[in-house]
Amino acid sequence: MLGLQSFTVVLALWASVGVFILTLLLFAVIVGIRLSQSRQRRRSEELTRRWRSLLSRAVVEEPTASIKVSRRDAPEIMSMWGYYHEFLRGDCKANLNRLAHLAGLDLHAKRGLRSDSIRHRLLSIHVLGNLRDRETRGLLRPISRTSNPYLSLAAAHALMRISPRESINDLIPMIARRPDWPPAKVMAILQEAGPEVVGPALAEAAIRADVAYQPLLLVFLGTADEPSALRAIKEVLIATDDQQVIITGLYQLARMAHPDGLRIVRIYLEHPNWLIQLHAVQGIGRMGNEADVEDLTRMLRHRKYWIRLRAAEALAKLPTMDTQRLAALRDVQTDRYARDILHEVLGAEVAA
Amino acid sequence: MTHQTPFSNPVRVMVAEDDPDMSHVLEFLLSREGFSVRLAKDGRDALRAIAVEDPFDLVILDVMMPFASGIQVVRALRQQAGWRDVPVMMVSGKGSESDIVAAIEAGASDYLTKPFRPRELVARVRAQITRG
Repeated sequence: MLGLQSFTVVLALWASVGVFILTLLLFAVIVGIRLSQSRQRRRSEELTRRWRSLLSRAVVEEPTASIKVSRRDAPEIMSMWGYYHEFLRGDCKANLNRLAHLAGLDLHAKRGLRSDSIRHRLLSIHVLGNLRDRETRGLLRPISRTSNPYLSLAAAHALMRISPRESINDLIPMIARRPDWPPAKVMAILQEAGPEVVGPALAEAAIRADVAYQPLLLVFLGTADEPSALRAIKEVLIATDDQQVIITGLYQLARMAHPDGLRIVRIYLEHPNWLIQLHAVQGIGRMGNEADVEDLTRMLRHRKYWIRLRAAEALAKLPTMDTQRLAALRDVQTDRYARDILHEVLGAEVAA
Repeated sequence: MTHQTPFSNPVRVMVAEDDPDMSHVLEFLLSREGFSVRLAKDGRDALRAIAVEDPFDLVILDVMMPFASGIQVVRALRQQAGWRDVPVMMVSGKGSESDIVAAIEAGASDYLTKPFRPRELVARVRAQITRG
């Protein structure tokens, strides 16, 4: 009995010694991690301070000194360098690129394209896009065709930055086939390239595209130059009877507010599909003139409430219309629906 | 390196910007022109400076800042005695017509959208100070 008690005491003693040692070890590990983190933070702060100074100087002076960046520091520096590219423009970008070459960021970026980390690969693609070295197009082209939407879109953007006129013809067939690319981001890439670069290629693509892709391409025509966009929308509308395509085309014409576009939109007031008529009325509301009063007044008697309402609103928005004239127009209407809808819109106009 | 400045006294500029990289570039560009730069790290810091410090020759404000936006700061500044005539330049990534109109209506003297050209910023700062 005594022997068993003694054994239990010894076991408890050793167990407590073991727990104590483990606690000490755990404490040492925590202290080690904290020290390492603190060292890393100080190092990162020092690196940031040094590079912020180098980058700010490069904004106004051509850098000459060669400062090599270690593989470990490269992602942080590339990110910072890329951010300077985002908020600055003009001649200073050439200096930033010179600094990147002196620091070997181009080599780090090329190597980074093979990284396992998506973040690092994205960063590398952005650096190569900003550096605009034509010889890197061969590295970026295969990435722009990969299934990953982030990498492919970033690579397509980089290619557009490097050589917009050559890359636009590769980009446009891709945007129609990539529903996973956010339209707003694609729009931003096209806007950055400029309407003259984007216009002719996008117009051709919109005209020849399958009807399923045409609405999306018509939306992107908002980034094209006016003659290309007008030509494409006109040809698409002539050739299609698809409701969605026609509505998108009418919307784009209204947004452009071009006299040629107005002439096309007027034709659709007579369309048998009331939704298309509705968009035509809205389009005239945005860009119509005195010549549209008669057509819009006729639409006030339409069987659909929404068309009557939009026609009345369109009349109210005409540059030659005022509340007195709108009231006079209401008073001469013999159709009860036309009179009511004008009365409703007139009330809203007066209240506004 | 400090450039020659045509202004007789050291020109005092306050830069309110929460982004450290942007803030550093502005400080570098303006110090290089011989201006004395006071940095405010957010809207609250800028409001505090307006309340307790002597008016600056120019104020550069980021539109989107924590605690108080650039618009709020410029409104407060225009109501503070001694600060009403201080030129205020807004710098922002938001460049729509309504953003610019809102800033001008709040009392901003100039509005520069990001991305910006450093030389253009310096030229506008100089023009504002000369006019002020």
